[in-house]
Amino acid sequence: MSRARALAASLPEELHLLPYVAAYEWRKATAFRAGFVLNALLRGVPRPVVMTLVYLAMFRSTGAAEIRGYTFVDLVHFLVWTAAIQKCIPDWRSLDLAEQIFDGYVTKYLVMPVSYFTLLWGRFLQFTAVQLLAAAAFWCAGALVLHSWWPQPVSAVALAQAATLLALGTGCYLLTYFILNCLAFWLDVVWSLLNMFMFVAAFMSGMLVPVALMPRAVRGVLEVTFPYWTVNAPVELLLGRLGPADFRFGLAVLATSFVALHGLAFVTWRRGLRRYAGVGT
Amino acid sequence: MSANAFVQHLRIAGQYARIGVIRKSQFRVEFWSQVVMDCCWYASHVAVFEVLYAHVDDIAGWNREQFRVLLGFLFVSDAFMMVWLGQMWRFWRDLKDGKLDSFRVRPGATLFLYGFQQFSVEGCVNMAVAMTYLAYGIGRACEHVTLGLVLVTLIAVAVSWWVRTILVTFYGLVDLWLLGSDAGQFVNEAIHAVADRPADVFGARVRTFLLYILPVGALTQVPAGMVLGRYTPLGAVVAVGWLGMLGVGMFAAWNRGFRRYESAMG
Repeated sequence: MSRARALAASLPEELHLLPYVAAYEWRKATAFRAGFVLNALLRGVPRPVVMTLVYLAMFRSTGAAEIRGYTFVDLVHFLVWTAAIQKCIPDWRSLDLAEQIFDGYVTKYLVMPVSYFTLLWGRFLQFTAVQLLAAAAFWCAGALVLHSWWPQPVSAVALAQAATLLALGTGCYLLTYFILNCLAFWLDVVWSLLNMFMFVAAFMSGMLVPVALMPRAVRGVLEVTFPYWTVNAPVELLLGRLGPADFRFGLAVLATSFVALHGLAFVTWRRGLRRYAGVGT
Repeated sequence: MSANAFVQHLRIAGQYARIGVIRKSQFRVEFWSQVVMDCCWYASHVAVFEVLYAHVDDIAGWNREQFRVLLGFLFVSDAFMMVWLGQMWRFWRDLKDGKLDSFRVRPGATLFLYGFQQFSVEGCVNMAVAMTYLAYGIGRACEHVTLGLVLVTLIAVAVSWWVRTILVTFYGLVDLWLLGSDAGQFVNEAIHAVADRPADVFGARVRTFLLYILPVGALTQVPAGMVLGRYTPLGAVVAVGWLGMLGVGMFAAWNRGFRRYESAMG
C-alpha cells in the first residue's frame, strides 16, 4: 500500500520529466542524420514494393479478379497501409536494456531521480511522434505521386479507430520488448528471443501476408492476439472491411493485453533488479 | 592468394571455430534460443508462401515445388551467414565505435579476420535444418535424384554461400562510405525483401540487375535455377564465373573502402 502511495506521489514529477526525456531521445535519434532519414522514412518500404509484384504475378497466373475478397488494388492498398503502420511499431532495436544489463550499466538508472518506466515511456513518446510524422510523410508523398493507386481512409471515424488501436498496440509491442529485454537479468543474452518475437509477430500481425488469406482456424487464433489488432485490423478498418463492433472487440483485446503486459513488465523489472549485481557506470 | 596464405586463413578459421564452441558453452539457453529463432524465421517464410500457394498454382513461373527449392537456398545461405558471418551484423556499430583498429594489424585479410570471427555452433544446427528442407524441396521438385543432381546441388549451395558473402560485404561497404548512416541495415532489409521472392517477379532489366549486378536474386534464384535445370550447362558456368569475379571485385572495393576508417571517431 505504501509503495502504491509513493508511486502516486511521484507521478506528477515523473509526468513533468516526461517531455525532457522525449527531447533527449530525439537528440539521440537524430545524432546521425543520414541514418535517421533512412530509418525513419525508408524503413518498411522495400517489402511492400516487392510483395506488390508478387501479388501481380499471382493475379496474372490465376486470371482471377479477386482472392478471398481482395482485388489486386485492395492488396496494394493493404500493403501501403501496412507499410505506414509498420513505421510506427517499435522493433528489437528500440530498447538497449538487455545490453546494458549484460554490461552492468543498469546501476545508473537506480540512482536517477526518475523511474525507469518514465524513461521507457519518454522514448516511446519520442519514437511514436517521429514515426507518426514519417508515416504521414510517406502517405502524403505516395498520395501526391501515385494518387490513383494510393489508399484513402474510408472515413474519419475509421481513421480515429485505427489510430486508437495502433496507439494501444504499439504500447503492447514496446512492453513485450521490454519484458524480453528484462529476461537478460536471468539469461544474459536475449537477442535471439527478441528476434524470435519479431518473426512470429510479423506473421501474426498480417505484416507478411493479410490474415484474411490464411486458413479459417489460423485466423480464429490470431484474432485474439495483440499483433493482429495492431496491424491487420487497423488496416482493415481503414479499408472499410471491419466495422464498429470489430473495433470494440479489438479495443478490449488490446486494453487487456496492455494491462497484463504492463503488470508483467513491472514484476519482471523488480524481480530482475533483485538479482542484478552489475558494477558498471 | 598464395597457397600458404590460404592455409593460414584456414587455420585462423579453425581457431575461430574453436573459440565459437567455447563461447557458446557459456550461453546454453541462448544456443537453443537461436536455433528456435531461426526455425521461427524459416517457418514464417514457409507459412507465407504456403498461404499464397493455397490460392494459386504459379507465381512468376515458379510452382509450389520449385518455390520450396528457392526457399531452401535462402535458408541455406542464411544459415551460412549465421555460422560464419554473424559479426557483420555488428559492423556498423563497431565502425561507429571505432573498434576495428586491431583488425588492421593482425596477420590476415581484414575482411576475413573481422567478418569470420564469430563462428556459431547453433548456426550449424540451423544449417542442418536448412539442408534438410532443401533436400525435401529438391526431392519433391525433381523426379529422379541422380549423382549429377547431387553434384549440381553441392555447387549451387557453394554459390549461395558465396553470394551471401558478397552481399554482406556490400552492405558493410555501404556503411564504410556512408559513415554513421546505418545504411547497411536498410540495405539488409531491402536485400531480404528481394531475396526470398523469385527475381522473375521483376521486369527483365531489374531482374538482370538483381541477378548479376547487385546479386540479391542470385542468392536463391541462380542456385535454384541450376538445380531445377533452368540454366543450360554453359549458362550455369558463365553465371558462376561472373558471380566469382563480382565477389573478388566486391572484396577489393571493401578493402579500398576500409582505408576510410579512422579509429579517432570512436
